[in-house]
Amino acid sequence: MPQSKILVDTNAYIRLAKTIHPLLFVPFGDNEYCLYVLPELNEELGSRKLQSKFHWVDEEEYTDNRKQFPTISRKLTKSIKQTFEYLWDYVQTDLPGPSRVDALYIAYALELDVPVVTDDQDMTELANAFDAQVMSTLELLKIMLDCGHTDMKTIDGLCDYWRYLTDLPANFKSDYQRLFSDEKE
Amino acid sequence: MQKRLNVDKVKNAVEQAGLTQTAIADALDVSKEAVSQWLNTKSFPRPNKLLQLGKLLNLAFDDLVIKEDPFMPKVAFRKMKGTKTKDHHIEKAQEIGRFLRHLVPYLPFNTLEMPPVLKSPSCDYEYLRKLAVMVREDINVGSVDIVDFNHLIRRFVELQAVVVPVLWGSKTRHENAVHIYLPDSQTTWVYLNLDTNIHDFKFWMAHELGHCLSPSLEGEEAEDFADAFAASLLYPHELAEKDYESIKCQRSSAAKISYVLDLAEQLMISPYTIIGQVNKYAESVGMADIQLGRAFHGAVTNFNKSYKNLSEALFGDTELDEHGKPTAREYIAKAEDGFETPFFDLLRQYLKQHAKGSGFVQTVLDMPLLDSRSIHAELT
Repeated sequence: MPQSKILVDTNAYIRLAKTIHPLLFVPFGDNEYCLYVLPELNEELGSRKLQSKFHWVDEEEYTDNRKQFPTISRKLTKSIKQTFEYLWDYVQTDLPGPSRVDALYIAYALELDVPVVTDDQDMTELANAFDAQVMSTLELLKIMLDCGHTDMKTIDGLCDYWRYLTDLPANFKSDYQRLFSDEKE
Repeated sequence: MQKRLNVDKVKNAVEQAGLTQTAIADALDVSKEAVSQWLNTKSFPRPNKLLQLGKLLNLAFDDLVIKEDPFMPKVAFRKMKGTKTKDHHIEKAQEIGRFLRHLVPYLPFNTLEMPPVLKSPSCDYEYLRKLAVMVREDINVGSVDIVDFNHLIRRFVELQAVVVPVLWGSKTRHENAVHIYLPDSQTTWVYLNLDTNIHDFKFWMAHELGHCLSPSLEGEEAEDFADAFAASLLYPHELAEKDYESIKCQRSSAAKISYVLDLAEQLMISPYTIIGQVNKYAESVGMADIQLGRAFHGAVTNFNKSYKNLSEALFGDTELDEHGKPTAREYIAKAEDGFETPFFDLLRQYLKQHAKGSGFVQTVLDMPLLDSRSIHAELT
């Protein structure tokens, strides 16, 4: 069965990668889901000038795991660039909020016809405007749970960690209720 | 901004691809009437349909769409010595300018009056001499007194320019300062890189003040004026006249260099500004210029090494982590207090009112994502 690629945006990566490790490039489930990031993510995480709660991203075990990227042909690269221009213009004139890398993620998602995991509301709005597939980190965790790639204990621990960092995703309460209430029964 | 389809290019592409309006409508899952309205510029496609149309006709965005932006942000910046300002640098700053528009409604300035600007700015020596005297009076500094950071900051506030202190690194990037003018709101935004040598930083502040006073100039002309203005303000004619003879009478080249470095230390300005201004003075009165030879550049490099970057000096008394980094809270507090800037308050209000994420912060400050997240968390 061919791999089902899923892109993970930088914010979602930061939320997940410390707990579910290695997060990337590990196929799971019957559908062979496999999580990827874009090379630009490493640039986004580098050269920071302020203190961060996420300094672990520099540790070797995580940087090593971020060295795998989707294979993109030259033709597809050109097509992604073209799609990005449309997205980025829309951001600048109609939907301020997503960064260039956010828009690039959506361009990849459209061209590869794969979903992108994000909790960023601006990015979700951008994806919706262009009919790109998006899912939240909780929705990804639900897929992982259903595949046996993780368990409720890990998910709840992860949610506690987000609470501790005051980094709960948008719509956390309703999404958690919708996705995991059955698991608690 | 007005957008319309480039109908000629669309019709060409349609013809080349052998398509009809019906075929386009089918491919894009819209009505034939919708396609007809697009091609008659009576309506504009929604973003998803625009992209699909572009893909179907294999047209780049700039080929498919004609944009008219009468209020395109005006950008001025000069990069570090030896590096060129390229189109993509300008475009990036214009993108920042488009994001800044959203902060304008929160500006605390008096909107009834325009701040003063120069009638016909020029790089003529006598003009700059008079201008330096006038601006020094405006900022309450005597004709030969030291212009310090606070004088310049105060003047930015009076000119209703929003200073945006940023941490862009000293090696990874080349921009020292970027000036963005938004014609629709007639607002000025001045980005200053705090990771800059302290003497250079003062020069760049004065340079940006020159831009604020000369919005009618553009491109290289604007940069040349801002450079000349900065040098004249920080090291005016009166000092150049006095120091020319003193430097000239030093017996050796090394002694001359040493004398210039001492002056630079006293005045807290770059040695290059001093020698440049002294020689401009000499030229204006028909005297020989002072040559310091190649050794001068090495001496200035060593001189600069003995001073911290402004960011190091600014955050020196704060609690840094093991990598020497301040918190986002410290960065914002130092920027707000030190530069009297309303920028972070504007950002705070906009982010809260519109529930915007860290992506907006990342673009408008052009800082890395993790820094933007920390700043966003601090502001919201």
